Amino acid sequence: MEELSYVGKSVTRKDGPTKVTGRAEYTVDVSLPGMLHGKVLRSPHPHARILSIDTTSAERLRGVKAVVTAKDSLKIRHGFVDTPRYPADQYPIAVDKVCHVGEEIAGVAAIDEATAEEALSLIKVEYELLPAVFTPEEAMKLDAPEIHPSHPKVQEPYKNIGGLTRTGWGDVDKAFNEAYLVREDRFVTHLRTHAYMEPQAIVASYDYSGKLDVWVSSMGTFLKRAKLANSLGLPFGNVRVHKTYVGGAFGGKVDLFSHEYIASLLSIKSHSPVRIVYSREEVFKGARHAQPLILELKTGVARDGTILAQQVRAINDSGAYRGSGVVVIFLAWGFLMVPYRIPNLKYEGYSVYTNNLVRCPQRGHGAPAMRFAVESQFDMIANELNLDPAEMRLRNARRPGEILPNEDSVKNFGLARCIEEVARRTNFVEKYKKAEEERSSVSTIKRGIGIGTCAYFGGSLVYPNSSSVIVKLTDDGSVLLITGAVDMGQGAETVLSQIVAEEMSVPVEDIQVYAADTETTCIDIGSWISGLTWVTGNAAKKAAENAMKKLLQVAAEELDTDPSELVARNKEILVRRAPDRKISYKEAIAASIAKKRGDSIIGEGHFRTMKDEPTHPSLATTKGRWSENYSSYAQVAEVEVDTETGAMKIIKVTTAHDCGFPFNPMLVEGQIDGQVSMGQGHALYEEVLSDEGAVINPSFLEYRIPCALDMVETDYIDVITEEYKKGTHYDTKEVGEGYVAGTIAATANALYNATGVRLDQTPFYPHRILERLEQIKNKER
Amino acid sequence: MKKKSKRLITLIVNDVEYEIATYPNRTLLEVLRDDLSLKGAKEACDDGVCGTCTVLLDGKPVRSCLLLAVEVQGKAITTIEGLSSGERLHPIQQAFLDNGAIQCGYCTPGMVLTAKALLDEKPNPTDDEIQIALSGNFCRCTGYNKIVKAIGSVSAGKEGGH
Amino acid sequence: MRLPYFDFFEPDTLQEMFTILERYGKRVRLLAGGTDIIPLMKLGLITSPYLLGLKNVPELKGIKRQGQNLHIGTMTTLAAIAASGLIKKHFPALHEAALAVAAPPIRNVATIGGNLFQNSRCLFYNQSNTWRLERQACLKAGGKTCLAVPGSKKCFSVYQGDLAPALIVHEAKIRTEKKRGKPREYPLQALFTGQGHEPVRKAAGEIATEIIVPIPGKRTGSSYQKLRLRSAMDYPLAGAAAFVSAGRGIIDSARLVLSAAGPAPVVVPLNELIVGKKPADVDLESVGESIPKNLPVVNNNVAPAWYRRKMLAVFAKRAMKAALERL
Repeated sequence: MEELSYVGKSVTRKDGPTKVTGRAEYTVDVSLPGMLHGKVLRSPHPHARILSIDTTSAERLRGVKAVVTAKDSLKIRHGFVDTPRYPADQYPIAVDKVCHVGEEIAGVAAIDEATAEEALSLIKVEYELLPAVFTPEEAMKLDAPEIHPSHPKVQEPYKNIGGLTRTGWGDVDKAFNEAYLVREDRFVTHLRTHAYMEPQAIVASYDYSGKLDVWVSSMGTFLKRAKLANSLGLPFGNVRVHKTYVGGAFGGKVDLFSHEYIASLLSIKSHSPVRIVYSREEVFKGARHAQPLILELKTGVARDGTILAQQVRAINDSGAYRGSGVVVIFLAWGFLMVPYRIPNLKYEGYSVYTNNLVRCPQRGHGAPAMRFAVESQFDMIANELNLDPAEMRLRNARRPGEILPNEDSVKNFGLARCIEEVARRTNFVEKYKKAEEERSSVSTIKRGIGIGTCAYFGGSLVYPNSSSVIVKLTDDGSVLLITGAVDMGQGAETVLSQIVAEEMSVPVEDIQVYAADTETTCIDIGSWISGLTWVTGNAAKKAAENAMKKLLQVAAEELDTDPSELVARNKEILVRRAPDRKISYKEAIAASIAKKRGDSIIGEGHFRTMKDEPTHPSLATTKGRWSENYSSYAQVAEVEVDTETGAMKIIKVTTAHDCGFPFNPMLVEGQIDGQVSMGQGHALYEEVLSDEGAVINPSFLEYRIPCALDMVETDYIDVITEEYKKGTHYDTKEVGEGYVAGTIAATANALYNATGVRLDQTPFYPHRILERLEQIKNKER
Repeated sequence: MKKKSKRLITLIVNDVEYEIATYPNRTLLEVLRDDLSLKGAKEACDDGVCGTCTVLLDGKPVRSCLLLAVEVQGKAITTIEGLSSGERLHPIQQAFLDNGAIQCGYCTPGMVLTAKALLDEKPNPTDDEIQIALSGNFCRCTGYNKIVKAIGSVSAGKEGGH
Repeated sequence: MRLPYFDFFEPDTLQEMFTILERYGKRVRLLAGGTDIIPLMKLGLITSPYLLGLKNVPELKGIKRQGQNLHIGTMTTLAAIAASGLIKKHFPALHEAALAVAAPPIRNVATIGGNLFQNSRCLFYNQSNTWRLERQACLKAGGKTCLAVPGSKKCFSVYQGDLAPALIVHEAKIRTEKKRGKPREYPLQALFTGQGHEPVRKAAGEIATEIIVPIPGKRTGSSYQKLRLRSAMDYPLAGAAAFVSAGRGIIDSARLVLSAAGPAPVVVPLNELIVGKKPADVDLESVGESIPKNLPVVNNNVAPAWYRRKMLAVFAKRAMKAALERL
């Protein structure tokens, strides 16, 4: 492999100095002259018809500059999904009905927050209360209150069905008949949330020229622009989303949020900048959370643990609107079918409306739930058959080159190697057996070890599908890198700089990144579909190559040779066989301008995900290709359980990961650490609790994210399956989402290994563990 | 309703004296951000739980969202803006960079200030002591490992220097 | 969330403080460290036209030994208590309790007085004005009924202070003063009303100035043990403090106090369970079993009531075990 100077190295963050000195401007820090403060009026009811809204008194209050309700809007629906089968179904401001507590009814802009709040209390809304339903299985019943009519293509006798995914292959019934063992289990996962530190925030500023400037905490400015412009009826070019630093997102800041629309509308109405920043309480009750799934799994295996068939039913509580609910029932299938071979499958996933908050993606988008269920059942089977869990996983793991049922190739899939290496590094088999033996010891502290796997897609066909990058050489040979990528902390700007540095032989420090602004940068796929390093990275690579080609052409003319004879090294171009014949970038650029009628050196590069596919796969049937890059990983968790209290601690998580090629190992480790920590919180104690649709723990005190004292020791094993070569396109894989899933699955299995407690419900609260420990104790008596 | 009246107060922030007229019900965080445009201290939780609003008060980390601006007159307030001086980053800031201890960066100012207070008091803390000191500063991105390592490296660096 | 408007006093002397207290009576609220009251004010649960800041009154701060007693000024920070060698040596339970509160940055401003006078908590009470508009106000927040036990006219909020049990096992007294009249001293447990809607006794014009704890004899031990889900920034789901003294190898006194067991710290009568026995003969299981069966613990927390009751027994046992080990 050729020697790389920048790619593959732990280069420090480009934005690090700005962030570490407190100078990074997040959306919450944006302040404009004459800026008003916006507040949102929300529904107190989970399900009600709006009979009337009277804003007169609010409008009369001194200091109030604008009040908006649905009558000020174009009443254009929006949605995470907007396809012919699943058209957008949510108004950005409630029109005639509210379907969850917290749904947006009106907005107020005033000279300060207190006035805006007072104005909210003066708005009179008359409701007719409707019966509400809060669990998907209740909502499916024919006598349940109807939130929205079931999807017209759903023939099954259920109510409130927002979408249905149905797929399969082979003959499951026959396979179950032939199986040595068939298990049927049901798993229930809970409502988790992102808990990004920066709350939802927007500043919208509309001026008399008809232009809307927006600063917003987001995961993709081009997606925000499209959704805002569409729902406001403005030309895309009239909406400019500026770059701000983003204080964490984890899936929770994708899509259009109603308060963003409301802030824009208030600004249009008042012709003043309007700022809306959520309180933490509003984040919990006005923003969106992850997807709680109910999973019913029937699995048939041969005597040696080989999977023969699976039948899976997934039920998603999609909340009051479709949100990403119809995506998660598709993705749950995806996260089921990739890691292990399933010769016969029958899968159905229902997305069900309830009067709960709307759902959105969260790190893993269905994977944490699906892998928890599958991996738990896998260990249950291994136990019944007395097989080593790691060995049984290895037997079923897909190998490189296998073609998935959707005709995607897993290409250089590293799962089997990951399982082998993580088992070896952690001494898995030995520790597993030891824990089993010590389960009956008198000690009240039990240790256990467990394994979980996951595989993940990288980049799929969703708007905007592609990324374009421009690199501009300045007079002295330093580089401006112009990209639409949003860095939410994962390090996008750093990785793109490394690629350009590598291709152009320019030090990373000589590259300035200009990012995310929809007016001055190019379209970008966004930081939300696990494809940025692949899609935008390849675009950056092409842009750099394009600029280098121009530069080398000039240099060749100056040095009187052919471009193929030249080599670039640290901002100089040398004749390969006579390195003393050389020209600096600065001189070459000057020559280009002098002799080529002013041509400065600008490179452009474009890259599209799934470039041979016309459309995205069908969410309803799963037909069509999904992704060109499947990452995989195996994780081992080691836990300690106090059998007197039921409290579990995750001591260590070891991750063997196939992310393709780690462009920046330090950033890769950071992604894994963050996911282990998030997985730890989700597994142990994080849960959004609600009562009749109202969130009752809307704070960081009662929604517990782990603190530094809860820190889990982490270890990593690189399983490298792709490579980076100069001058050609590369493949690489996801590393930012799926490890949450592996951590939760491995923890569930480690709990069992330590105590014999198998929980079919997350989170693994101490009281749940204790309850089961006591049941086991009583049985033994 | 009672008439609202402002107070004229003097705050010493990063060794600079500021005279500010403010209502007594405003927190130190609000005054730092809105009146002094020192926006390194962030608001994230509203109730003093998360630590993104951390500043140093007479060298000790405190929640600026739980203190009234009128309460801290005459005390030395250090914000992240006051940490680096001249051409170089503070060694703690540099360690955060070198160790990959920053992701989204929202918690970073509070983390760095908390680390500074710790290292001022205990130049060579153990990992346990670092974790305890940081236990009131939440980070959702890093899982804390690299932050603890970064702070440890500063103390190790000091030791090596002697 | 923003604080509602109030006027603010910050006296520099005791005299000035008492004058303000007398003049404004019930209209003024005390602000100690603020880590409990400021969030409650942001939520709209407490409003007051006047706040009286106590941080500048030097007489209210400090830890000093006077004869056989330790005097702790009510404005002494939890960080100072945690750092005190005297307290660590003589009152290990108090040392542990101080370290168990929140996290270091909170302990840098939170005070012992503020910790003792903290409000009781409940998932249905500690909510914002908006939340109450959307739902309804609970009994404690001025509503008609308890939301944790629907229909109940009794408040089931929980006192979750860490320091009170540790101080009570050490037989702490609280000293209160006002402008006129004699200072009062009374056992700390009498501070607590046992009523969720108003868990601590407050008299207008009066202020707690000191906590006075007798320095225990030589062969004594104490401990505070706390259960929480997150390892910091979390109130106790169950907390227990224990104290034992064994003059001549025989236990001559023992005390056990629980936190998060109802609207007030619960003093558990131990009777002959421990006293009169050799430390090695104490049956720890029976200590756990001795806690009252009818504690008013209900489902108003992430952890269910049955679990919290069970854990109070476990942590009572653990606290007693640790106290015995320190003899």
